[in-house]
Amino acid sequence: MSKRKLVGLAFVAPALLVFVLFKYVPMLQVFRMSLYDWSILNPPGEFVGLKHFKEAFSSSLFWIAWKNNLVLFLLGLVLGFWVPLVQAIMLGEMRRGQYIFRVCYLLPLMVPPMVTLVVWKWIYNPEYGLLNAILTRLGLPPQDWLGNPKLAKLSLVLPGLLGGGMGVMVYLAAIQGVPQELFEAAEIDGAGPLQKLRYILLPRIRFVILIQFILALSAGFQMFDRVFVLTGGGPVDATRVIALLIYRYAFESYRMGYASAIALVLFVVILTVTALQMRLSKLSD
Amino acid sequence: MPFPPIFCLSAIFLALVGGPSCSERYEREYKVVRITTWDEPPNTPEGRILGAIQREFDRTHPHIKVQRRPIGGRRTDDRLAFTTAMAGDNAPDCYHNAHFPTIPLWIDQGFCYPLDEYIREDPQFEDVVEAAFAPATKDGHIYGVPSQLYVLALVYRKDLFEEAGLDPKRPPKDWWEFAEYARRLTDPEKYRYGFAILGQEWASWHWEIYVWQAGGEVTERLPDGRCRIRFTEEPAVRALQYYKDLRWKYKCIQPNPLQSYQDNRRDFVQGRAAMIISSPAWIGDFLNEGLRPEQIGIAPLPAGPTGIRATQIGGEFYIINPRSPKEKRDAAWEYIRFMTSKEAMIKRLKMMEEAHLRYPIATFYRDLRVEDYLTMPEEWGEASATSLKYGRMEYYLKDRIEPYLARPIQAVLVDPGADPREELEKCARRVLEEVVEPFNREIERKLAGRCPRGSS
Repeated sequence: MSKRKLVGLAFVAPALLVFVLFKYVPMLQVFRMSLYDWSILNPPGEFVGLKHFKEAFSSSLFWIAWKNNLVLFLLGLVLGFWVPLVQAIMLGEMRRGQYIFRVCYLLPLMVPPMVTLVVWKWIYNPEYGLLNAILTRLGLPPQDWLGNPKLAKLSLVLPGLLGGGMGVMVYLAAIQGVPQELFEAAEIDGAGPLQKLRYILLPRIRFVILIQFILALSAGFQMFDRVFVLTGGGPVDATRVIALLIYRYAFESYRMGYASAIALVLFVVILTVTALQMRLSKLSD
Repeated sequence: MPFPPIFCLSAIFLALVGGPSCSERYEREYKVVRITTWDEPPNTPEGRILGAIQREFDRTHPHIKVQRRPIGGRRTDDRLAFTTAMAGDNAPDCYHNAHFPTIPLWIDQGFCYPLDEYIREDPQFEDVVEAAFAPATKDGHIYGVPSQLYVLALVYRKDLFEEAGLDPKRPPKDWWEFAEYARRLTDPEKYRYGFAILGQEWASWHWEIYVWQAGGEVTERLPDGRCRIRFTEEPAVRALQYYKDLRWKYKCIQPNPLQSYQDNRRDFVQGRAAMIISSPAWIGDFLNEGLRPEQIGIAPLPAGPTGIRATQIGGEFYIINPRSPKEKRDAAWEYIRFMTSKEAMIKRLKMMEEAHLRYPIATFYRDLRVEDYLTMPEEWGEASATSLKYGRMEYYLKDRIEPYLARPIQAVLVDPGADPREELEKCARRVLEEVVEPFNREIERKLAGRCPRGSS
C-alpha cells in the first residue's frame, strides 16, 4: 500500500473506528439479542432462535404499527416532502434578502425538537389551542386533533409540513451548484420556468432528492418523539408505531430480545426499500 | 518567599496521596462500609424531611457511609436509569423506587436480592400489613420492603363544588351520584369539566377500579400461576359502559379524553377539573402548586352498582442489589430497616406537622394512625383510612395486557357508536392469542420441568 493511501487511512481510521463501534457493533449485538430471551443481568439468557420473530409476525400490535408507520410516511411524503424543495427554489430566485430568509429557515433548528413538540401539543389543545381558535374565527367547528383517530395521524405529520431546516439548505446548495449557463441556454431556446425546472434543475439535483427521500423514509419509519409526546400511541392505536413498540417492549416490559427482533425487522425493511430505491434510480439513468 | 516552591508542591502531593489513604485505613480498621443509594432528597419541603431522617441514620450508624445520589428525570425515567445501571453493573447497592407493578419483572430479571434471611428474624415487620409485601413476593421469597404506599381516592375541589351549588362536605357516594355531580360541575363557558378521566395509554390503571366496583375482575391469577381473562364478563362491560356514559351521556369529562395524567392534574390545580382520582399521599404536590388545604376534599371512591368500594393500592419498594458483596448487602439492609421503621415513620409525621405538610400518607404499619400526628381536615384521614381498607393490588399480567386494554377504553371515549361489549371481546381475542395463551404455555412447560428457571 502506498504511503499516500496509508496516510489517508490514518486520517479516516478514528472516525471509522467510532462509526464501527457505535453503529455496526450495536447492530450486530441487536441481531444476537433477537435470538435470545435476553437477560439483562446475566446475558445472554435462554436461546430461543426465531421464536421472537414468529411472535412478532403473529402479533396484531406489530401489524397495526407497520400500517401506521406506512400511512404516516406516505402522508409526510405527499404533503410535506416537496416543501423544502420549493422553498429552496424560491430562495435561489431571490436577488435580495436571501440571507435573511436563510437565517429564518435555519433558526428553528436551534430549538430542541422536544420543545417544539410540547408547543404543538398546546396548539392542538381542543379547548384553548391556537388551531381551534383559528377554526372558530373562520366559523368552522373545533376539532379534537389528538383525540380523534381520523385526525391523529395528520396531527403528527403537520409539524413537519412547514419546511425549513437543513433540507432547504441542502437543496439550495445543490441548486446553486447547477451551472447558470444551462439555464441561460435554455432561455435562449425559449424554455419557460416550468420547463427549466423539469428538464434542467430537477434532473441535476436528482441525487440530492434521492438522499432526502431516503432520509425521509428512514425518519418516517423511525418516528418516535412526536408519537411519544403528542399521542402516546393512541387514540385507539391510531398512532401506535414500530419505534414506540420497541421502546415499550424493551424499557417497560424488559423484553430486550423481543424488542431487538422487532428492531431488526425494521432495519431490514428500511434497508430493502433504500436499496430498491437506489437501484431504480440507477436504472432510470 | 516564606516556603520554597518545592516544599509547597511536596505538601500538596502528600495531601492528595496521603489524605485518602488515611481515611481508607480508618475505614478498614473500624470496618466502615460504603454503600450507594439513589435517594438524595430533592430540595422541597418533603425532601428536607427525608434528608433529616437520613442524617439521623448517618449519625446513629457511623460504621455505614451512605453515598446518596439523585435519580433525576421523570417518574418513568428512573426505572430506565436503574435498568441501564444494572446492565452496566453500576447500580446502587440499595434502591428505594421499585414500583409495585414493575417489581415482579425486576424479580424475574434478577435485579432484586431475596430478603428472607433478613426479614424472617426481624420483629420490626410483624406489624406490617401483609398485603404490602405481596407484589415483591415470588415463590415464597420476599424481594423488597415497602418504602412508599399509596391508595387511590376521590380528590375534589371544594370551592368548585360550592360554586356549582353542591355541598362540599357531601361527596358523591356511588356511580350515579358521581355522574350527576360531574354533570353539574361541568361548565363549558368557564372551560370547566366535572371529572378528569384517565384515557391515555395506561387507561386500565383506573378502569380496573370500576371493574372491581362492578363486582368483577380484569384478569384472574389461577393457583398454578396461569392467567384467565375476565374482562369480557358483565361487570367489565358495565364498567366500560359507565366510561362511555360519562363521556357521551353526562358529557362531564375533559374535551380531550386521552390527555395525559399530568395534564389531568394540571387541570385540577388550575380549576378546570373539579374531580380527579388521585392519592391522598400526593396532595402535597397540589399544595406545592398553589392550592390551599381548604380547597381540597378527599373521599373514598364512590361505590359501584354492587355497593363495592374497591380501590387500588400501589407504591414502591426498597430492594438490594444482588451483585453487591455481602457486607454492602448487610449495610444496605440496616439502612432499609432504619428508613422503613415505625420510629422513622413517626418522626416523619411529626416533622410534617411542624412543616405544615398536613396531608395523609399511607403507612404499612397496622397500628400507626396518621391522624394522631397530623392536624388535617378530619375527612382526609377518614377517607385515606377507609380507602386503605378497600385497597387491592393491580390486575395480574398488567404489564403485558395494558397496551391492549387501552384500545377498547379509548374506543368508547372517542367514538359514541363504539359498543363496550364488542370492543372488549375483540380485545380479549387478541390478548388471548398473543399474550395469555403463550404465557400459560410457558407456565405449563415450567411446571412440567421442561423449561429452565428464569426465562420469562
